[in-house]
Amino acid sequence: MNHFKKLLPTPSFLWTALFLLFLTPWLRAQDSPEPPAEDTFAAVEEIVEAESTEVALPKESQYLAVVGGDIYTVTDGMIARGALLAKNGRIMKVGKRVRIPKGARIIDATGMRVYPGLIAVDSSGFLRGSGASARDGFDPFSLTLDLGLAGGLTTVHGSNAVAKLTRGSLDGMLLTTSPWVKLNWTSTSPASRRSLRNSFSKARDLIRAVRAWERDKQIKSDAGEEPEANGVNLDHLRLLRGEATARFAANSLKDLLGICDLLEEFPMQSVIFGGREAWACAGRLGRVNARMVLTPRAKQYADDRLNRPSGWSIENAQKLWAAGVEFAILPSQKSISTGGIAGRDLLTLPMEAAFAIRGGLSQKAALRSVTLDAAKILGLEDRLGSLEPGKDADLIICDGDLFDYRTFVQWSVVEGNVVYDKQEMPYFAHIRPRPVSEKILAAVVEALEGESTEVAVEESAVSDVDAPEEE
Amino acid sequence: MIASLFLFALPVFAQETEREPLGRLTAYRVDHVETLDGDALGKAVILVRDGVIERIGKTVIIPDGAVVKDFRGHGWTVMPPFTVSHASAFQGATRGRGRNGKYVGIDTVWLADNELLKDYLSHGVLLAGIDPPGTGVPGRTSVIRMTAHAPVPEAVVQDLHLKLTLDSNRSAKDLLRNGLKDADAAIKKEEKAKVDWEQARKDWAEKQKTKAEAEKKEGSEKEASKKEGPASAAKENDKEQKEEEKEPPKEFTAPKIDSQLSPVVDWVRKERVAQIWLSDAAEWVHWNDILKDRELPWELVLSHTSSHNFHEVVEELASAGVRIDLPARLAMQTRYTRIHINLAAELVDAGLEKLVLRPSSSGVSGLSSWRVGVADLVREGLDRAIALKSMTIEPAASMGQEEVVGPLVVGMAANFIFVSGDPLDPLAEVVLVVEDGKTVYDRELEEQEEGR
Amino acid sequence: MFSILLTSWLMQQVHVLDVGVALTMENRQVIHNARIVMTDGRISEIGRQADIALPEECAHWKFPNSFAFPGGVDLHSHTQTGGWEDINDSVHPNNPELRVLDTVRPNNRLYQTASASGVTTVNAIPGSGSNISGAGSLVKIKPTDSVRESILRDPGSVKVAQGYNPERANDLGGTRMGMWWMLRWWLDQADGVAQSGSLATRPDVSSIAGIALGQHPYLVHTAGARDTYGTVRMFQLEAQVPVVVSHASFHGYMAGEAIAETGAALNIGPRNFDFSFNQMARIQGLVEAFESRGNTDISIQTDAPVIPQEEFIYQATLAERLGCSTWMALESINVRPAQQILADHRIGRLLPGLDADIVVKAGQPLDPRTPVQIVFVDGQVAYDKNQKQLY
Repeated sequence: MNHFKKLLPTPSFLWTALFLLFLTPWLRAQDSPEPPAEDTFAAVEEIVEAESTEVALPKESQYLAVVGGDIYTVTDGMIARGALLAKNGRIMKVGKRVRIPKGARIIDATGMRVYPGLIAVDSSGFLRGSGASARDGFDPFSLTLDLGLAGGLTTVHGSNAVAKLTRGSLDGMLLTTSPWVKLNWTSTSPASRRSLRNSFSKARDLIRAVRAWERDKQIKSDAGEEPEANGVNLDHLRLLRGEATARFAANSLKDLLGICDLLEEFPMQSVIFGGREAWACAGRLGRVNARMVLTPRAKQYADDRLNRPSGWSIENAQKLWAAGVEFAILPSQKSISTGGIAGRDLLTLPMEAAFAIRGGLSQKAALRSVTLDAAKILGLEDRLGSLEPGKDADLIICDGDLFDYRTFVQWSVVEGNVVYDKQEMPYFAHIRPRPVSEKILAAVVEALEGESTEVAVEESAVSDVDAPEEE
Repeated sequence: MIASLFLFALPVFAQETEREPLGRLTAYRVDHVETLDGDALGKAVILVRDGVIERIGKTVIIPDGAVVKDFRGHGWTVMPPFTVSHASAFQGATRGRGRNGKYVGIDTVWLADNELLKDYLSHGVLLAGIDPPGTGVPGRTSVIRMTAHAPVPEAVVQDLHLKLTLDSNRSAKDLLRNGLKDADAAIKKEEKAKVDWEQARKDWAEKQKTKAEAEKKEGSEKEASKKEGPASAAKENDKEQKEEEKEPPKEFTAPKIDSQLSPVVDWVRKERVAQIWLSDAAEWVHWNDILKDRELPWELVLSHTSSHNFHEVVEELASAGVRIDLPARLAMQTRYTRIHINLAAELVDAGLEKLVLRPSSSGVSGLSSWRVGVADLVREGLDRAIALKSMTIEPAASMGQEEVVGPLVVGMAANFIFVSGDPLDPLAEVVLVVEDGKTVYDRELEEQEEGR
Repeated sequence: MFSILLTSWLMQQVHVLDVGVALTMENRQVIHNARIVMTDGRISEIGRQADIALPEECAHWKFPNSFAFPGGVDLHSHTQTGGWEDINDSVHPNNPELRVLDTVRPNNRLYQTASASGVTTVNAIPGSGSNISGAGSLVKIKPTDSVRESILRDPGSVKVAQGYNPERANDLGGTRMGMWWMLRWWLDQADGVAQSGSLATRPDVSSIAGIALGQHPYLVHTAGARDTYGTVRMFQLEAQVPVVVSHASFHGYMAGEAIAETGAALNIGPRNFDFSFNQMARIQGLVEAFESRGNTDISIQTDAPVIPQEEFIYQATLAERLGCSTWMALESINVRPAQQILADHRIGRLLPGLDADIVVKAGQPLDPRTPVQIVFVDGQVAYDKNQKQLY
């Protein structure tokens, strides 16, 4: 017992230990991002003038930190009051506690929600030119681009190109061209269907021949020449090899079933635009792993003359999801409209998804339909659609749940740059203006009264537990 | 001894005569002078000798023999003449888009008996820039002087800057990108040709050396071959002839460069300044995308109309460190707002040092509304001194005509105008234009002649 | 015999509805754990579950986690035929004697989907192809094939278009001068007939004479600042007849302050915002614009099928999204339009004595994410999501 007592720390030791313990966070804070004093004062002055709510500027910083908001990663659940750190346009770290380096640009997202930037799998009016020349025709200051950002979009497909809404810059704008191979497969053209099937047959025969030849090579010494792709459609070959995605458009059950037949015979990656009657063959679509692009409110009344289910259904999205079909959502108007009618164009993409929720789709699935599954349909899921380390730093910070009709995007980030701020742009600043955060108010008051020029970042967000790895 | 004195005096006499020759000496007494060199002057005297400003100031002693022109009491202002950087009103022709580097602005402008020259002069304009018509790479700019009359009016400068225009689309960008690419290739080709030529000269020099040595040897051998016969001697002669044919030229001549491409090559060699015309912020982004990291000499000409979105890139424009030429008007910040932006003032506040303001329209009525436009900009915050410079000496500097239109200081050529009031007052008129100390325009006389 | 008894028993089926929250829309009164008793097509009792005893023999509906609110009233709808037909006669510039009643297809497909969204009454009106295009009817959306049973009131309103469409015809009335002169002439005629009581001799003015007698209002299609205020001036201030100022689009809100002083009844839609005219690059919500200039009597419309009829409540959703207050948006779909169309003694609120037109939703009324559970019209089930979800 005495022996044990000796091991116990003496009172003075205890006090020293406690003191050190209290000191340590302060010490740690020294080598982590203590806000540079003068810059902060200048920043505070700017805040007084500009009524901005960002904590620390520099405008150009390779590090961006979004702190304090609920982060919806899409793939890994929701992190309440978490932090996200991005470097050079890529997400480095997402977590509850993230260490933020000195000089990082910090966005205080307390009380807000962070989502991946939304993706429109088809659009018009954002890009000029076609394919690769969309980069040369890009207007990085257009009204459509601004409003697209205000509506939460960060990536759009249109004019045969997939592009990011990189306001003010061409860096990182063009992602890819022609993400799909267009295929025409309708019930009204048996001749074209026949020729398409023949072409796929030929391609499949070639693939089989090549595989057989490769096997022969291993066992025989004289396997002959590699079979040549004579008269085989190269796009169809790519499709069967899994190197490309086929794009269909079909709304009627008949056409959708026809596509299912084709895909069962020639399995390949596909995306089907429309799918108004897809609810009636959801199972089959799930089994052929087709992906869809849906407009939940697209109406066509059932045809009473038919003896099969027909017409639209508000439950379309939910039924497809239940059958395991992945889909993206688009509104009926795939552009931005300033004529006066709201709520049915790309300015309110989440509202279209809200109607899928009305039909029974879960909020989680609805979120995927405008983020990760949309990225998959464009073949860019390695870069976009979720908030994970390694993915592009394209995100939106909203003042409420994404699918709540009162929610607005407060900030948009593309390639790690803040490209939209609701309070700085004239479009929506007057609607429920963002209140200046308490922290900023306090800093402003302190600065004006000359007491202190330091602005402290939330303790909970700053810690040495997760140090970002240098790349 | 007296003779020697006389001898000494003679040269002194001669010198004095040279120092005070019977040159024209004119003294202008005026109410107000905008020297554009520091502060403006109130009541002042400008002393001009032989077409050069000898003295200028508040207290200037007017020597005997000077012709005194007293313009005090009218409230007139004297200032350097106006300079219109892009006087498209002179241009008669049109052309499409393409690589047309071989053309110059003056090609398609008719100066003889051109009434516009007189009109410009009566508005106080002495120099104007002429652009070649067309877009893409339309050619090179020229400079004309309003007083170029007899015998056949000519441009002051035929061939000055390279004009470039840009649109936000692939073909327009390709035009410029390919221009740079082809210019690089031409320069590379020339460099290679030069290297080859130098190598060839070196080789030939070597050959000559060895030939000389061989000839020495040959000399002895020839005597031996003479015994062989004339055939071998003939062979020797042929060989010598062939070698002489192959001598590379003593002077290096560069391979010919296509005349349409040539000015672009000059630009890439930094021997010529390019003026790039942009109409919105998107084109600025695309221009930078074409230039990438190249350091080339260029100036910016903004060609927006009543609305534009250059406010988005004001900082970048100012920090590019180049001369920027704008139309003198308060334009709206894009089509869907009526918020007016004083782009000129914003650029200056952001650090722009070389500002040129040109009339939005360069016809005769445009010249009047030019001053109104500048007055608007000054009223809305543009520094007045900078504004006046931007209409006069800055555009002249861009044309390399600093010695023709410059600040009114001692030593400067006596080129100035008299305005019947504040130059930025739309009701004020140009009443007198003096060039090289001579009056080339006098409103009163003109009006008398026209019987008004 | 038995079927008659069965039918009569069914007809007198009493429905009792228990909900978590009932928005009565009467002075913004909200009842928690509410119970609504529907008898003979009317609300006989409404109050807290604890205070109201369950009657014997009733159909008891329980939605403990839901909102109940009055059925939607859309004052500007052209979906009575189930399509785009029979909306504009456009032969004469003025046809007050024409009636929409004869074109109504009750329970057509557009109405069915609308019912599933919570719309219970629409003011089915003719189009804006002429100055006075005819009289509309107040139609209840319920599962019946009988026009008689569907009509709440006929005429519901008289449709007037004061600009931005009647000019299409280019006959007399090609400018506003001609059109407004004729309107004044008709107003005089109607007034004269009403005063002298000579309705029988003037069937052509019967519908608008009723207005002079305060039986129903004019519903005037108008837009822009000049014309919106002009409508208020001509009808409300000069002729002093009840009028609903419908659309008020584009820059109508710029006359908002002057209109607020008159207390005019505004019926906003289908456009939800203005971008072109404010010249500040603002997405300016129209309801918010009017509200911030002092207007309180605002209802919402769809101009269906310009906006699909079932997106009626979504219009109010968008109005709130674009900045108007929550109560303004909630009232704009039931109590205000009922008052504006002079039918608030029958519809628009959950009060004893009023029609039992009730919508139940397991979520906030204006939230598009939650579907409508059940709709009662005239005390009977008009839509039940459990049968088939139509919207």
